[in-house]
Amino acid sequence: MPGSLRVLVVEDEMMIAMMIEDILAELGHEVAGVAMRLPQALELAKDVEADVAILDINLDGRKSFPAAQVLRDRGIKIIFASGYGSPGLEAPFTNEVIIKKPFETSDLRSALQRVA
Amino acid sequence: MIEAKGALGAADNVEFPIGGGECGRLVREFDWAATGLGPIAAWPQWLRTSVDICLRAPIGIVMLFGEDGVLIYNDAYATFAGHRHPQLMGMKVLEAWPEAADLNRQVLDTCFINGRTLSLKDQPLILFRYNNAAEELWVDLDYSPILGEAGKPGGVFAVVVETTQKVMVERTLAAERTAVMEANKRLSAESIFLRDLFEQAPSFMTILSGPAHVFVLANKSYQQLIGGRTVVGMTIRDALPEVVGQGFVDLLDKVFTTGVAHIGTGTRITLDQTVGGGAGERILDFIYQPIRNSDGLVSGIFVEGQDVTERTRGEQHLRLVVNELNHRVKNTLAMIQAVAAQTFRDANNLPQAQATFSARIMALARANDLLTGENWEGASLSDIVAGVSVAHGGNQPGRFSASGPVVRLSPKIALSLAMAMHELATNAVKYGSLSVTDGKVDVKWTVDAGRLRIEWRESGGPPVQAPERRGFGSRLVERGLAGEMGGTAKIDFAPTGVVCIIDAPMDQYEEAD
Repeated sequence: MPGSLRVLVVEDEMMIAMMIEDILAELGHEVAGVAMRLPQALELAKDVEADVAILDINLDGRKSFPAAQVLRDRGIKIIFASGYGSPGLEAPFTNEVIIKKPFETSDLRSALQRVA
Repeated sequence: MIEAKGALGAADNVEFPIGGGECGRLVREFDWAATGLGPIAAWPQWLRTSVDICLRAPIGIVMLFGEDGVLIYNDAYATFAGHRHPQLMGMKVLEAWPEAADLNRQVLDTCFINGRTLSLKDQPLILFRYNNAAEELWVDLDYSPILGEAGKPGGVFAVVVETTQKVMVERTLAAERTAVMEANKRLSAESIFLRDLFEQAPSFMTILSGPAHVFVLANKSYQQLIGGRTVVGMTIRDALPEVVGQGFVDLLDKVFTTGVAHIGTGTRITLDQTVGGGAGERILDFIYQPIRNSDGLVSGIFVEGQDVTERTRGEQHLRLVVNELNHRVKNTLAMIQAVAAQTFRDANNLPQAQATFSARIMALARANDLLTGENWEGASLSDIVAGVSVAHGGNQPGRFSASGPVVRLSPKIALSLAMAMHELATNAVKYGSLSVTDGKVDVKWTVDAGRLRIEWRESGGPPVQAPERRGFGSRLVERGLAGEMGGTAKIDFAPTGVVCIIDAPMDQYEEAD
């Protein structure tokens, strides 16, 4: 696994976003940006300097797939997070890595290892 | 041989009566002298003529002579009389047939005394003709007077025809007729019952006839389904043109040609007129069942089914609710996990961290309660502030003030704001204005130029010193809440008291009035 990754966090629950930031810091990675709503996520996705993005699927009632599409087109790896688990994934993202909420540090670590 | 001594033209030495079968012989041999008729040789001509006519008649005839009605009859009557013959010959009628005495008194009175006729058709009688056993029989009885000397009544002439067999046949026929009528009535009632059953059935039912699918019958539920349209006598293409393009006529054609039933489950149909009258989509469970004639050929199609629209929508809604609930539970657990992670991460005093954690979970629970009370549609800003205030001594007079217009917050914003204010209030109780008796907190919010501005201002507390390191609370407000609300949130540790200003675009909230 490469040393430090730049990670974009897209998560609409502020506590969980903060927890992810903490876990990333603990794992020695860098938070490239945080978005809590789809418009901000789309905005950030266009020009964020990141290696990986962790995306909550449901952003206050809107799906994060449009942001995922922009990120994928830019070659940024994607990890989805959702309370629904893999049934929450939609085409063309059904084969992407997903972690089920709630998750632990080790779940996030191995997801990052899989995509990086 | 009896010697005739008659005075009135009866030829002497001529046998009387001549012939007459068994009864003729009985008459010849009977001792008439002992009866009211007197010796046979002295019988007047009218009497002799009557006896001759009687004995030669091919039907049952009995004659009653004199006021006592002394009986003389022929062989046909003897057959009718059964075992009572031959004793009847020469007996007085009332003694001869004591079981029919009433009738015979009436006969004597009508015909003998009053000289009139009497006809009784299918007269029922109970006689003891054989082995002294009672027997019900029916007879046609025709009585007429026999005139004697000078036109005075001499007797009664009776034609007796037993009609028992005919009556029995008629009775059987009548019973059969009644049975047939009752069966008809039963069938008719059954058919009405079945028609009512068809008409009132909760399922919709209709019968289509022939290859063009002409409506023959349609029950009430079916009428409701198609919005009360009149269809009987019409082809399905004419009656419900909108279903043609939806494949239903093709299906009917297939069932009609192949004779194989079709079952549809949860099938959607769009009707120009449906339940309630307007156009709309319904969801149906149904069957197309071929009807075969006596030759085994398909002659029509029986359509039966249920409108499961409401049930299906209810199930879909329930599935949505269950999914939503599941998601919400997962989300809440993830939040609790996040709170725990951040509370215990840097804790160097475990009991204190546990108390902080417990208080944070309680804040989350209060906000949840508030939202549940509002059916998770949102909460008002003032309710959120009031909840935080009550939990931190706000019920003491003058400690907490809150003012601002009515603003509705989305569930997510309401939760985040409640958590952020909990952190501010906890800090105030520990180090700020609420740590001393005279201190207070004022929360004010305004809506102006499309922006919501919330101000948390502490006063009357000890002099404030900015913390060396921003803790979880500051981070939650300045990063988390700001991100949630899409605006800014700044905490100013001013010496006179902590001030927190939150500024966010208003478009995601609702301002009431």
